Amino acid sequence: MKVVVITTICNEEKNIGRVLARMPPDGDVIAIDDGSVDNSAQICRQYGARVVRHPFNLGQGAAFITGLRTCLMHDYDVIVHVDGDGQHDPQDIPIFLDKLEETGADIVVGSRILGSNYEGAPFFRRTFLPHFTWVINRITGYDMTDPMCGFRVFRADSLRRVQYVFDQIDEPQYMAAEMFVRFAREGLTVAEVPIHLAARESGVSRKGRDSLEDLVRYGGGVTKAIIRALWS
Amino acid sequence: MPFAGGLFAVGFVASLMLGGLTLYLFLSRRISIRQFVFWEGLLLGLLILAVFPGLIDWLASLINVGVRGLFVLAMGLLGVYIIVYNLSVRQHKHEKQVQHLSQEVALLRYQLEYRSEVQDESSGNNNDL
Repeated sequence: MKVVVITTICNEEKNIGRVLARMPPDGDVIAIDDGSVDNSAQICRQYGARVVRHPFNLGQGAAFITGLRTCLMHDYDVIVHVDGDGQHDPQDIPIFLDKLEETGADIVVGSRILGSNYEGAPFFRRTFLPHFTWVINRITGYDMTDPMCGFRVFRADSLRRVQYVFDQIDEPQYMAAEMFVRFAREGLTVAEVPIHLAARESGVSRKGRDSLEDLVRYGGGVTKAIIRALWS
Repeated sequence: MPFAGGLFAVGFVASLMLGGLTLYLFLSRRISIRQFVFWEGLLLGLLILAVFPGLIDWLASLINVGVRGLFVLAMGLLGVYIIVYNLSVRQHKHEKQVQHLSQEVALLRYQLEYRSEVQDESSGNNNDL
């Protein structure tokens, strides 16, 4: 099974080295640099990762789509996505791969809820995520506990089949909701595994500030994504 | 009404000046023919209303608005709304186009780097792109 790990980064020079150092030794790594102005891309290259660079910041969702497109140009069997901020542990990847094999699902998503350490998440997200999850589950028919988690594994053949969906995803930042609604329509199946989320060692998440503004951006982004997916 | 007369004079002069400016911008190729036609049409309308202010009363009576000022204000707000809506739609469209272009540029650059990497390794056969 040919596995590739993609990681999306934007000014993560203080975290990305730690993430790449924990990558499984037998898989390729492709870093999607979403317009970093620091040395993130050089550090990725030092660790042997290939780098795809956006000319400027487009948003994490757009970077993720670029990553999937890049992987589908090769002949990989499985595509893994981990965040570049060090909160996901690449050592957990085998658990995802086992789940993929065991369930035959097209996508395996990490769940911070099942991993029982979601207490550290921003208050607003912790409060509203269950409601957004409920809505997404109702629309998709999936039974997810944490659709917004960025730690995901995809079967490449399944994505190749529905590649045109990438062009339809309109939300550049909070695109998980839109992605799952569109994937559900294409009949892709989803399984979950519990993950443990580590605290960021350096830097501030662009999505993780615990403020009313964050709630508006997060809630607005997710709501827009759902409406877009349903409308089209 | 000397005040109203003065106001219409200001409207007349402003329309002529803005019309001249729009024509200059069009001739110097800084705005498209679509923008030129839109703004000139709007200014022509204002000019006609400035020359024949009675038209405002007539138009206001058509939609049962008793106060002339309110009618002008409502029409102005409607115009601004249409322009802002139009700009917002076009801005979103352009944002998406820029996003797609940037992603394409990133992928093409990656392909080039990958190909030259593969060539450097001198195998040449394992290029799966």
